[in-house]
Amino acid sequence: MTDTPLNQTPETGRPVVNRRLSQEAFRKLTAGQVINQTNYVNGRLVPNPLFDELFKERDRYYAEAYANMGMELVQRRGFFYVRSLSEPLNEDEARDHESSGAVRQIQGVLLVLGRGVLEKGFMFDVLTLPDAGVSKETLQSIGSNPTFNQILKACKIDHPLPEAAKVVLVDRDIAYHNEKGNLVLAESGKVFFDDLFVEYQTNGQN
Amino acid sequence: MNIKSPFIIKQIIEYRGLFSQLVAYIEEHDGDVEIPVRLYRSIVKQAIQAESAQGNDRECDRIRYTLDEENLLRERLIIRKDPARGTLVLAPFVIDMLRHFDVGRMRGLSQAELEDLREGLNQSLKSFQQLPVDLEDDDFKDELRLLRRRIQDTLGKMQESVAALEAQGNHLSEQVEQQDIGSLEGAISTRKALEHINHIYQRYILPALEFLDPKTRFEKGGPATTAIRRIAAIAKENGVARLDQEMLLSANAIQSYVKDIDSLRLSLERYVRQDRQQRQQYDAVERAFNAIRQATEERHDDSFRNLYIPVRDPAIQSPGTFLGIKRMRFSRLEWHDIDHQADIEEFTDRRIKELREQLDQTGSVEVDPWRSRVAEAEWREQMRYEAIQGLLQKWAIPEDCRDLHAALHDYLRRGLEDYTLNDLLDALDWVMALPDFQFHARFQHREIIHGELALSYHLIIPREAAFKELTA
Repeated sequence: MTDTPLNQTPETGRPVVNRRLSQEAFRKLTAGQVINQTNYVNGRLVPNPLFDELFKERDRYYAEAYANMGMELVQRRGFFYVRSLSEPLNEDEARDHESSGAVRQIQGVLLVLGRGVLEKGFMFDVLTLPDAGVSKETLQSIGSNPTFNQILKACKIDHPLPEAAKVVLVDRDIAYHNEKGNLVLAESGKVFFDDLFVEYQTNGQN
Repeated sequence: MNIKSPFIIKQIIEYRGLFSQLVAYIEEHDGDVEIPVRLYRSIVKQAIQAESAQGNDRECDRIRYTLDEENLLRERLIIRKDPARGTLVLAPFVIDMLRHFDVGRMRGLSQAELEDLREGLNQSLKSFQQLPVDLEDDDFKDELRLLRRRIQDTLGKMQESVAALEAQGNHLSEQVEQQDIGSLEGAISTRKALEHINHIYQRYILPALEFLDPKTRFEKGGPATTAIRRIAAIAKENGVARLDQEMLLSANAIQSYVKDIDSLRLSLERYVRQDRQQRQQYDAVERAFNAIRQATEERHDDSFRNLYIPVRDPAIQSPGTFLGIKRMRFSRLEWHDIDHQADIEEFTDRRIKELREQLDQTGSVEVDPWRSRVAEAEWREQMRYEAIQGLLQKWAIPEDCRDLHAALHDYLRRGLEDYTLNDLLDALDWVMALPDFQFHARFQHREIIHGELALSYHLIIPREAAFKELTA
């Protein structure tokens, strides 16, 4: 997997930036949220204007603007997020980086969720179809497994699985609750598993 | 020595564990009932060795004589022996008996076998439709006997099939559940077991359900149970109530297997629905999960205090979809809480102290020109902010203000030395950031020209003025 963004026709000329969308995107990204290509609105997926705005002016404006602020605007298939460009300079910063550990929490919850859903006998698609999703009861049932709980704790998550999914995935826009109240993965959540599948195939199945 | 068949069968039953190899051979060779003589002999040899290991020589002799091929041939338990090809054929009931003992090796009824049963029952229906129903008539009696044999066959085979499929399904699903998919061997054997389950499902379960469904349409003839029910109707029409009842009960008995097979279908479907891609997805998730579980167990001390998985652990870094994501921390610039004058004084005091210390230590003071330039620029910037802040603190937004830019421009131009449009932008930021400041934006383009620069902007009307405008 690479960080190479999707192909975008290089455009010349001055960037046309929508200040309102730009500010909203900045606020979300710097709050540790991702910006997905689509949003779940009234029971269906609609294009996300924040994603469109970032995608439209990524090369002419946003990539450089974020770089000037010491951040890297990372585009993956179907979503954006930002990360710090600078490496931790000293022990304090390194500890800070370690203690934030958002990636660890996200990874832990996603893997517990994915494994739990498959173990319950659901097809993987239940996690990604907007009309399907995982019910709170199923989440509770998955979360009652002591091994899963240990993993969550080792990822520095003290909540039970339903709450952990809310705090770690929904609040970061990696997942959402559909009209039935079931948990569904957004593009970014889907991409995590797609990356796992691709990695499994490219690194050999052994 | 001639030993009678009951004793031979008793001996075979006693060593049924070894004789099940014959069933396995037949299954592996697609139902070929010709068994190599050497296989039969090796089974007998194994039985003798088992007894000889316990020092039971008499029993060894007994096995040798009882299970002698010539003896079995005489007692019609071997129906054919071909010395030239080195093969023998056991009586069908012996094979069926061995199958009965080894439920795990039993197969379900294949589509061809089911079709054979159905055709037989349809053939009986045809005969019953043609013959007069007369319990004294020999032809009718022959057909009735054949029909009963066919029904018995169907019932027996269905029962055997359900037991076989259940045993195989349970065995395979256990294999799938208990395998460690994270390991290579586990993943391979699980995949094989899942493929086998899929095979059972397609080859045996679905055809059996089709066979038992009274609504299935066949190219020739009707479903098996429908044929029996029609025979029952013929018997009823001809006043043979006992035969009518017997046939209806038989049809119901065959039909009742639909429940067993359907419950098998439901149990196996979970595994069957996983196609190759889904199984790969499962394996991929399983492998990543095992990595994080292992990383967890390495740090497990029941409390996990300061024993979290390090972010740099491969279990966290791979596949790296969200690598580096975190909430960015900014120290906010609070315009209104900053006393710029105090800041400048603090900076100046600290810098003077630093320079004095340097002078005491080295006797001279060296000022880094770059740092000095930067510090000077920063100092000037701070002074400018301070001046703007000072002016704005004395300024109130005019009540009739209809253009914030213009109003500020006029005010600053008069009060600020060397005023530029950049100062106007700083002042606008300051005013817009006031906590209780509210405004209306108008889609109206304006321009302010000052010096060599021009500021192009959209009109901003402070809320109070707009309110008055509306209520006037």
